[in-house]
Amino acid sequence: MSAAVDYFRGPWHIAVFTWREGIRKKTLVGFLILSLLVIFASFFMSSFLNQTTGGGQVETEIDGKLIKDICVATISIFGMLITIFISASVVPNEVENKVVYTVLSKPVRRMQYLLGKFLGVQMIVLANLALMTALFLIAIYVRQDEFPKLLLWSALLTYFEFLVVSAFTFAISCSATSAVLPTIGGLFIYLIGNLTEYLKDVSLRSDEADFVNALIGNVASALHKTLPNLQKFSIKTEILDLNPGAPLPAHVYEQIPNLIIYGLAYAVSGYVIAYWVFRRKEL
Amino acid sequence: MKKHPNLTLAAILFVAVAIGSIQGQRLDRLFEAEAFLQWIAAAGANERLDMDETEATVDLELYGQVAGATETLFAAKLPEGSIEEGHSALSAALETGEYDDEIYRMVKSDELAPMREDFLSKLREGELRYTQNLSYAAVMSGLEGKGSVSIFNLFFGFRKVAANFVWLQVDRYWHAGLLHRMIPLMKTCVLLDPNFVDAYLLGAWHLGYNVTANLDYTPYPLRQWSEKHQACLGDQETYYYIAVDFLKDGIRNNPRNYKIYFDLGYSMYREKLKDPENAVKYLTYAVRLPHERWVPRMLYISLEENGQYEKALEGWQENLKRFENHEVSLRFVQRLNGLIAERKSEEAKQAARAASDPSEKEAHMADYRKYTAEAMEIWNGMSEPYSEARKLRLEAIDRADQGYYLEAVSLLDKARFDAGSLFEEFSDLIIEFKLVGDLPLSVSERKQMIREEESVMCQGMPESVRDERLAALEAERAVRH
Repeated sequence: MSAAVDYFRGPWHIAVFTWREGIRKKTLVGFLILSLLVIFASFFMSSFLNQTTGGGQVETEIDGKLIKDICVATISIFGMLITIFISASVVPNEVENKVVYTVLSKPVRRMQYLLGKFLGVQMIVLANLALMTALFLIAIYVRQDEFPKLLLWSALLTYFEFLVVSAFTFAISCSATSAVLPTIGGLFIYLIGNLTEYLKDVSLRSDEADFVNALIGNVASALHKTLPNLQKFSIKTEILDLNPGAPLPAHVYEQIPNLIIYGLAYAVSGYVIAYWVFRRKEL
Repeated sequence: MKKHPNLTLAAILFVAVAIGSIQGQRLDRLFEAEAFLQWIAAAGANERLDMDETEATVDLELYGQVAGATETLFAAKLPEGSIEEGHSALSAALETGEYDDEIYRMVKSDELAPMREDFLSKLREGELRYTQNLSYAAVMSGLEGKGSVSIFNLFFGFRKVAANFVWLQVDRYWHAGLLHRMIPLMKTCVLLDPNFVDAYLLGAWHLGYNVTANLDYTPYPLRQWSEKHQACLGDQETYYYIAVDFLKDGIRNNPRNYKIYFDLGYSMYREKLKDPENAVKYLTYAVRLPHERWVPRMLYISLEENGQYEKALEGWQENLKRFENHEVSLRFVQRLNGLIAERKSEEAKQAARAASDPSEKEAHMADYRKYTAEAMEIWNGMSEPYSEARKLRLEAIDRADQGYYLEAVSLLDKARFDAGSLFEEFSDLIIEFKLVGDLPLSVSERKQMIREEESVMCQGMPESVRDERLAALEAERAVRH
């Protein structure tokens, strides 16, 4: 037990240091402030609707819906940007500043160092997500006078989506010497992760009679089955349409744990690739 | 790990990717089951409400198979009397949400596996109609057919936000007076977000009320017969039915939201199409779902308009129990008691006319006098234009029975202007008395009679329907006279 505690003490200190360093980054703070501003501005979005629907002739719940949809989108977009920037920069920055040499000269293994960095990144991502979600909760509570508990499920799934992107961006960052390439890589991972479904389309459209065509179809099918599909996490927006007073429907209740395992499996894959790259890195 | 680090890492990576891949496929199966469930919910709502869909034969056939397979199970579980005649137990089970978990288990079960596969293959081929709400689940499992580009993917999961912005544009078009541009955008809006209930409600309101406000009345001979709606459509009616279809799509995609049922029943069928039968039908479903407290009152009003006085009376009495001394309920209870007494008196009079035995005739006439007195007493107890007008109507009938048709007509003429809500009913009665009493009809009354005759025929109407409607009109006139 004590061996395990000793093993994780090092990563924990590194994680805390990464967290302290991360929250001071101006870019991240900028993104966070911007996202909080957008969430706050969603209160006033309904003013774009003229008298027909915005509290004039007809009473509707459109402004409540506007707040919900805009806030979920804002959290996803800004949260993803924060995740990509922080995951892409923690390791390359330390290599650039040569801090990594000092750390690794201590009795800290590369695995521990990397684990600490990854945990630190997750702490920052979680803190940002919690802040944005809290403001969103307040926005909804003020508008509807009801605690939107479904939002918590939505935030949980959003985090696991971030975790997958974070792990693979982190893997790219371990091979890079600056944060630029991993940041671009992270954005591509997000885009590709959302378009994985098209691979299935390619495999369905392939003509099995033609060898090359069939080969492309099989490769696309294999990639579709192995690559992470971030669209699966889109249930986070569907959840908000459910009745907040009723228990979660059985199908949603069954999908959530499966999505969490799905996210964790790909996060572990990303982390293993990161370690594989980092352990061979000449430092 | 120390001896073969690369091999170990490769093994861990392989296992993690394999778990992710297996989990991904498991999620696909869950999404397929959810898509099947959502389709069943839409088809079930369609069956429950008898919403005729001639284009959805494939859906109806498949739903019939699913309902047949689950009939025994749900028929045993549902309380007695909850399954309406001609409907499946599945559609009744889908109504409230109480059996949702059970339905979901059924949907995933091996028993329904062949139907689920059939559903998935039909969905891929694009043969099903009630699939608007499936985009999410369907695209997850690649169900939207070969070569399709899903709008879901195009917006990276942010299609609800896109729907909101499309709605802002609809609103702008409305204020710019570009009504013709609104319809395709409203349809796009609900395609992007089938759960955008307010888009259905406001869209139907624009179509039914605002777009038609500047359209002229179309005389029946110029209207076109619509096979789908079994009605003669002029310019206004065309938009009313577009709104009706729009709201029906909304019900299929959101079968548990009372607001759409309410708007369809009250705002469209009652207010615009003057169809109290359908108004009662949809308002009844609205009341069964969680609703605002004014919804049942609209149902009771529609029940009264549909001639279901006893049911309306029960409703208002129930309302009175819930809200003691509620003035409106009290007034409606009195009014319905009066209407029930009036109806009984008319039935007694008809029975007396039909009876050949003098003693039987006398007994019916005694009933007639009793119920008329009862109605008069109720109207005397109320002091409002409506009750005064009803009293005048009773007096007019009495005069007409004695052969004083001119007096009867003058009483009704006064009464119809005293209570605006009775204007049409009393105007018809005036025509009836004038015809029976051989009094000359005014120009507007003649026009009304022509309109009545024309209302049973329009362009493109099949002859069989025309003959049927003409026969019904003749029969109605014969009863009146």
